Amino acid sequence: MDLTPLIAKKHQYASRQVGGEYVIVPVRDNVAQMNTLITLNEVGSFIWDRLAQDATVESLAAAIVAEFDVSLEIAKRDLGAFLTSLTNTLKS
Amino acid sequence: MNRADVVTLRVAGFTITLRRSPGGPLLCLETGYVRYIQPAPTATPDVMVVAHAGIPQDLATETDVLYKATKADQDFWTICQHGAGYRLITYSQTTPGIIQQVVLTDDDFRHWQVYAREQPANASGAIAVCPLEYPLGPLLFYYLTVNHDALMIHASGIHDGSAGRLFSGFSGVGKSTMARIWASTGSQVINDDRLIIRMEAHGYSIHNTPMPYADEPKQTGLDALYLPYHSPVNQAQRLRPAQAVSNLLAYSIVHGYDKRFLQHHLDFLVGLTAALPTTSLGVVPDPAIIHFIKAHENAHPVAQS
Repeated sequence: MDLTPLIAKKHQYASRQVGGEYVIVPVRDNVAQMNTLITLNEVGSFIWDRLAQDATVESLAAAIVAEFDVSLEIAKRDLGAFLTSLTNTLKS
Repeated sequence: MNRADVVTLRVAGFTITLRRSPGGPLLCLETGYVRYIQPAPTATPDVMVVAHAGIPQDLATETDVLYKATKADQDFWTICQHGAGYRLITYSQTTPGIIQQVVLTDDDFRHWQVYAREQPANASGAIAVCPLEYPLGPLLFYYLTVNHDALMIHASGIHDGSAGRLFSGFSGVGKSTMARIWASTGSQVINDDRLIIRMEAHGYSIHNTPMPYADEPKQTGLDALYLPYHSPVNQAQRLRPAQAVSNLLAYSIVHGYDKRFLQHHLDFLVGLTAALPTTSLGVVPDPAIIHFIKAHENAHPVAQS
């Protein structure tokens, strides 16, 4: 999976870690419609933090395995599902 | 108000000085501002506004538009990039398409050059300019919040003599109803629609701002935040910090075209929700909700600001 579009999209969001979760907010050309806020849980926040220019699916999966008590196979599966979901969410 | 050369306002603890341009018409203000006028000017206002009569044509064209607000399908106001600063254009809501004010402001919104339509002559024949004519006043208050530890939010706020509470949400959730219920039992209503929250040395406080009607400037300490919704029974649930931040941001006045503003408001809300509890509140609109809230707070005490 090519992460380049997702990483580019990340720059269009303001974000802040709050108690182990992330609140991310789209920069939009509007004033009153702050109804598309997204919160990420602990693992989602961990991935969001590492969505940087040199990130790959492999490097993210390895980082998850190193941080959380999970096998590489499960990390890759869950990471893929998360990235797909995040891509769809950020498209809307 | 009597027309004046210089006016100093104090709104939500911010000082705003209005001056007429040299040789320009006197200043006037809408009714809601009158009780915010200070007796003496201050040397270092938070915002300096210089009011000019008439709108230069070369400033009236929308270029480099950052955001364009409409209301009921009419032009309302537009903000444009203007060099290193900004240009705001507001439109009459009674005569569509007519520009009401043009503002040039610097990048940190501390100096405003307001070009405004001349107001009709008063009984003594003097014309005037009304630099904060709606919607410019609320816009100026909003841009104060992007440079200070402050947030403007759709909310009612009350103080019952022992604690300050804020009730926030979209239209129709019961903000005004909550204010009326608390007022009926003797609480002070800070405002029932729009508040500015500030973080100050002694903690968080809530303030009213000038409204279309006359009201005294009011403020109180803030101890708890509630997000009311209609419910068949009174019920309360403390929100996780991320939930609280998300909800409160949705109800705040946020100009989302600029990441700097968004980040500032997010940072403010993270501090606010870490310091004070935010509770989702199912409400039956009668005075029993007051007892319910106090009982809930007693059962879930938090450190007061």
